[in-house]
Amino acid sequence: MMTIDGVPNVRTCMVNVKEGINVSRQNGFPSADHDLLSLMDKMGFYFSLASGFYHRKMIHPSFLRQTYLRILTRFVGLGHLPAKDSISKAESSKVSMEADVLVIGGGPAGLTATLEAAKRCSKVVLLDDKRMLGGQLVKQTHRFFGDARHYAGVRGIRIAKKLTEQINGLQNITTVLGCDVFGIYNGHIVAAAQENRLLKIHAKKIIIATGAYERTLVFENNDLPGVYGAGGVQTLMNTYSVKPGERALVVGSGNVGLILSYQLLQAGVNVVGIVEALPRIGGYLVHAAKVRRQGVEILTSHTVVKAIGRKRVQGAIIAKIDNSFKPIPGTNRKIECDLICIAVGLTPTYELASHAGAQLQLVPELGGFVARRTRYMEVSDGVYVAGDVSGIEEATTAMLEGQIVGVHASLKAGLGLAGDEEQLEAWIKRLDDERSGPFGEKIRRGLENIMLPGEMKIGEQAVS
Amino acid sequence: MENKQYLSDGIIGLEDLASFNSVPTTERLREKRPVAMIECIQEIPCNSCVVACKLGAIEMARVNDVPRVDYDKCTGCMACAMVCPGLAVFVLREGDGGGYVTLPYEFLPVPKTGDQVIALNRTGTVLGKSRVARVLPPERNDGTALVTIEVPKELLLEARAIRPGEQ
Repeated sequence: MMTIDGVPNVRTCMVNVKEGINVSRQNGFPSADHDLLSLMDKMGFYFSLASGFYHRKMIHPSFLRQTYLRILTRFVGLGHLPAKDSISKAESSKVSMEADVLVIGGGPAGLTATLEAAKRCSKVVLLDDKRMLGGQLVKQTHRFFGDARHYAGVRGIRIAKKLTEQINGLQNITTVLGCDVFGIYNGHIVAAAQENRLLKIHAKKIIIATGAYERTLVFENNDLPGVYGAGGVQTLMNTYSVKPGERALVVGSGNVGLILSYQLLQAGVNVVGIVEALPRIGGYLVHAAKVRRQGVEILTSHTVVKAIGRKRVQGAIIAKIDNSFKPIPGTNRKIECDLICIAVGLTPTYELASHAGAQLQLVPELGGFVARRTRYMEVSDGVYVAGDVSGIEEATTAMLEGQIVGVHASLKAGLGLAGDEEQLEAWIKRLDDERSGPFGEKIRRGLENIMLPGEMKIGEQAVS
Repeated sequence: MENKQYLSDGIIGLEDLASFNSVPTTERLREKRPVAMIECIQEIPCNSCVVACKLGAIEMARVNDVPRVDYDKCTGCMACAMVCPGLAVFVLREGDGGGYVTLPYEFLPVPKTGDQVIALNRTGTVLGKSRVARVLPPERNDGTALVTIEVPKELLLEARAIRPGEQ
């Protein structure tokens, strides 16, 4: 988090560099390199300031509480709101749009949903917060698994390019990039912000395909520069061609962790090991074998307990863990590395679905909170979910779900084509096939509890 | 899923492959036509090899099944090796004196015919030096090169990766 052009708490990794941009730190005094408060790291022992200490200390006497809070908040580095007269005087504007089908998110699910809807509707709007379409596909340089009729053997980046070209070639699709959706009102009005522009879109049907967040992991010093999320490392290497480090430790052996390890090797980074908390590898065995035969060791029942380094990662301590995921004393081992990549899974971005009236449920098998839905992925009247937002799965299933919701939303808007119903059944069958193996077992179990019976009636919300 | 060793270390052993009938026989390896060995013994939703095979030599009833190669039908044409997203297909041939292993390769620099490379086994352990006999360059196969290396014939079922050798 940094302050950019006076606006605090901006994720700098999401901002494009431009002429005259003013980027400044909002934490660390007098500078980030020589942070006086870093002394606290060493003295914390004397003060015994455990995390969350402020709930118990510095609360007496009560009349000083607000003062304590103000000072502590400054230490935390939340930044300062810009002074009134320094706010950019750039013109702001409001735009109103209409759509038969509106798609939020231009990843694998959103792209296929948009294309299917555009075959049927006269006006489709696609919104995405990034500067380019494709979502996570743009960093997936590996070939996809799946049904060969459905992109198996094709690289993610090629799929993104192909789908984006198709979308750009269609006149009835309006794509708005760099735009954050912040609300869905009355089930059919979508509010979004794009720099100084406020968008209000009336949509007959809304498809939420906002994907997932990366999970993080709690360990000592996990805020040191050099500790990255897997997605960030992939963006650096595969989108911007930046080598993120020389020696990497990868945490997590799901497909993301395994593929990331392989991509690190391709970028010329030495992968010093993959640690996995579970006793078995989470991702596909073929992905594991691929990095293993390059000499990368996969340590199951292991975790990272600490990052070493003062200003950036210089190493890591890993340890063997027992069945209750507690480090076993005496198994600590130091690993030399300058990069720690966290690939411990994803969790769905359920917020917009919830705002639109969907009923949420915590389903660990699907990665977290997800919306209850019909078999056509409708979560409340006229609002759909597709892709990772509906439960963490693969891009191949996300694309199928996108197609299903794209067609069903059009059908319900009265814009279906002949044969659509048979088409929907065929895709649902294919989705079931994809999930029929042992890797789909968890998904099947998760889905059991969140299916709404029958079809969504007009005006119906999942909320009882 | 069962608790097999390969699920905790990522090393698919020859005996694991044999238990899935995924190892071509010695007689078949000695034939003039090369043969595909698919090291894919976990049920995952993928059938790209089946669709790529124009000879119908790979069997798979459902998309989550493990592929089974009919070694009599297989001609070692490499169609499956070219598309396999798991880079799990190796094409083998035992020639006069030596063996030839064709493996997928996605690193830089891409070796050239005649180069010396270092052959590795399934755990990344060095087996020795090896000469590159043939290369299908990456630009002809969407980024995945297919590199054929010469190995002693007893390493035909062992050599599964390469790394650049000192020039």
